Amino acid sequence: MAFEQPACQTCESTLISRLFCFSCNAFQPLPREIDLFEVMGLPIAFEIDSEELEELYQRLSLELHPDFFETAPEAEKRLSETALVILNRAYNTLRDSTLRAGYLLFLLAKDKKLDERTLPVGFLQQMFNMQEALDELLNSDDTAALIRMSKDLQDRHKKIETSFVSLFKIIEDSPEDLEKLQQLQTYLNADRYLRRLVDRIPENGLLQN
Amino acid sequence: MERIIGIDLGTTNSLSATVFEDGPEVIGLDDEASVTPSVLSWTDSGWLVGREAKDRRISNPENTVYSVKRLMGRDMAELGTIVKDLPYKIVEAQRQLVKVRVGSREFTPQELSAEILKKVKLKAEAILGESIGKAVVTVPAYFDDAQRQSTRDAARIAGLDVVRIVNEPTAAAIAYGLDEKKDGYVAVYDLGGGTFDISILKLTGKIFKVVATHGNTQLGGDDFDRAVVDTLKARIKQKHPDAEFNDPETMQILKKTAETIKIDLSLTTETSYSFALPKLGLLIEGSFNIEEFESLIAPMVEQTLESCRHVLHEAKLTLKEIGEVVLVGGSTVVTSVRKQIESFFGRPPHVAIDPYKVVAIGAGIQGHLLAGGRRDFLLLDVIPLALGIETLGGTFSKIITGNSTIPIEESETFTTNVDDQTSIDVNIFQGERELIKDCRALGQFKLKGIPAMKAGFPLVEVMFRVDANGILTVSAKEKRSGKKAEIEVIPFHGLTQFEIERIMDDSFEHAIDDFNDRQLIEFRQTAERVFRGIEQTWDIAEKALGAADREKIQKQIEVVRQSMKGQDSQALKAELDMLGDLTRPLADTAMGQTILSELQSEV
Repeated sequence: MAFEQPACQTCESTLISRLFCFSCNAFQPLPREIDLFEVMGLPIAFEIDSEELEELYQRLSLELHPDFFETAPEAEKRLSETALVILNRAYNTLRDSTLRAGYLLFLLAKDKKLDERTLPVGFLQQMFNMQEALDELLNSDDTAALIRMSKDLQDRHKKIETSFVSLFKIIEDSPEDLEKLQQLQTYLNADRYLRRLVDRIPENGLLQN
Repeated sequence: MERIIGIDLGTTNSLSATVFEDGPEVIGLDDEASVTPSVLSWTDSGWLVGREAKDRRISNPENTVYSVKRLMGRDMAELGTIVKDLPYKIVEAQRQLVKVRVGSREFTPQELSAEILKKVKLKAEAILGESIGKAVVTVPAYFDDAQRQSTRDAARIAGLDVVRIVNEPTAAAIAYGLDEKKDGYVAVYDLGGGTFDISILKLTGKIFKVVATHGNTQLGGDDFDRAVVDTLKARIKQKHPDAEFNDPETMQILKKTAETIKIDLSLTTETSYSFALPKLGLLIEGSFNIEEFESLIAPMVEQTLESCRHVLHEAKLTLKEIGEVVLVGGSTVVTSVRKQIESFFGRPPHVAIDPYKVVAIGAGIQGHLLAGGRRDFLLLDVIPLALGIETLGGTFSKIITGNSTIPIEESETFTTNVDDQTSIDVNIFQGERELIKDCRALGQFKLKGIPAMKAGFPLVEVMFRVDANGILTVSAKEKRSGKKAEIEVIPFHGLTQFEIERIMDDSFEHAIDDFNDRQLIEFRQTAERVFRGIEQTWDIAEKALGAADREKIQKQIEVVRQSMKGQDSQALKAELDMLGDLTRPLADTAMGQTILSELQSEV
């Protein structure tokens, strides 16, 4: 996808991040709607270089964090707080695959209305079965079965993640493909559903790495 | 540069630290003086705080309050069985607050914590010789919003501006990391008097980043004591089936005995006890061995290891990837706790920095950074639990996910259900589970002044902002009209602005405002304590010090006594310092002698 490198409002150097210019150390004026990929200096795509994300996040934090502006004039202090809120939003959103998929889809779909409730065929029935099984497990103390369920949920999540990769690639070539966009939305709905189920599993049923 | 001190407001002990010319250190003339026991005792002339209060635990149990931190931001139901084990009275108050009743008076946990903070502040002011207005205060990483708010309110009541609330394990990691300067993952295991948490931090260059945190704000060394107390009670019951233990004095004697047993068993494998219970007319004797103690606390230690497993899962790390385990909190001194941590992580923990001091020192260093004194490191912390709202069917809808790096802001749009509806109620919760019944209610806010429109037409955007302290603020605006919606937050478990101001007005009437007077009080107390110490070790001095040195000390004691009668606090401090210098060889020998004689008696 085309990605125009923005320039610093003060010294006109090419910006790595929309928030701050590393060349002249200037905070950048913030547009009303800011693109989180631009904040993190990443091309708009589902697959990201997470090391690059981490590195830029740390570099920007070292410049912008309000801890370094506690004694600064009020205006500068506020600027740093706002910048860090945006930086953290970008970082927290982009490092998590479900949140990243959701955000990317929001950018791509723009004003197209996608159905946020549809789920893949047969998914709901499977989930009902799993939910019932989980309800029963919660009343027993079968930790091994809980861990098996966590594993099952994780595998399902990974499968969806793989579909995201291929679907987002198709969208890159044909951004107007409404059917594919809706398919992505459907998978995303399913992924969110899985998350909620994971939240119901108590601590002793979590997978160990 | 205005100084910002660090304060570790603990369940059992509180202390402060700052960065001196030669580096960070706790604030106090000596180790003992730097620690303020988090205990208060009510007297006719007001609160006694610290060591003097602790001494009254047995003689005046109903009026002596401790473990206040466990009450912060909690309600009666959440406190559960703790209430009946505490010798002082806890009552329910408005909006799910609890209060402590002492005689005919009632105090919120915030007011009580404020008294402890005031004491710590006065001590620091006396020693630094300057007035202190700003502080970094630490809280357990797993403290939720209500508990953090309560801590901040307590500081405000104490006349302190809390520049930052820092998580205890994070503070410990700063002190550790700046000391060791090693990159990698560090697990901080923090088991204090009343709270437990485990945090994993990633150290890379200047950055200290919290990756994940987990814990339990109702688990700590107090619970070890309680388990021992229960065993003692059961043993007494065997011989004296009619024995009742409900009077405060008996409860306190049992607790103190349990503490001693716990401490003894960190040094040896078996200990004997003998104590009188005057109210019951009983003399109790017996012994406790390490196996008995270990099996008592095993379920609690296992609970902490559950949290360790959870946090590794959250951080997506394996045990092998953890480079170092740092211990924090007094309860990590317990031998079997240490053993189990070692076997869980597969390596001996790092104990180079005193686990009692490390949190305060880290907070002091962070205060130094915030004051503009340095920028050689940066702490990136997270919000421990997700924040969200109640949606249809009692489900919890997360708006900010747990372990998100802070500060952070997210928004959510609400609308009306009926025509011309001008207000919306929203319930805020914090937790990680799917249903609100498994999460904590933080409060309710009302969106008011919404322009009258058809149902579903107004779009009220509500911003949830978690600041760098982990504290939530909520603001709202109606998007169609651009009108700022009025928002009223009713905190559960917390104080309103009005209540805080009223408490502050009340307490200022009692405050001793003159700075010199406060210093004088502090230094006079220190002097008395130093005299007692010298008296107790004097027979050693007669053997260890020459006559000339002893005479110098005696003379200086007289000088200090004269100075104590005067009104010049700085002169008194100078004379005290001089006495300290003269008695240092004595202190060294006295300590050496004690150790020697103990060793000899063991043989």
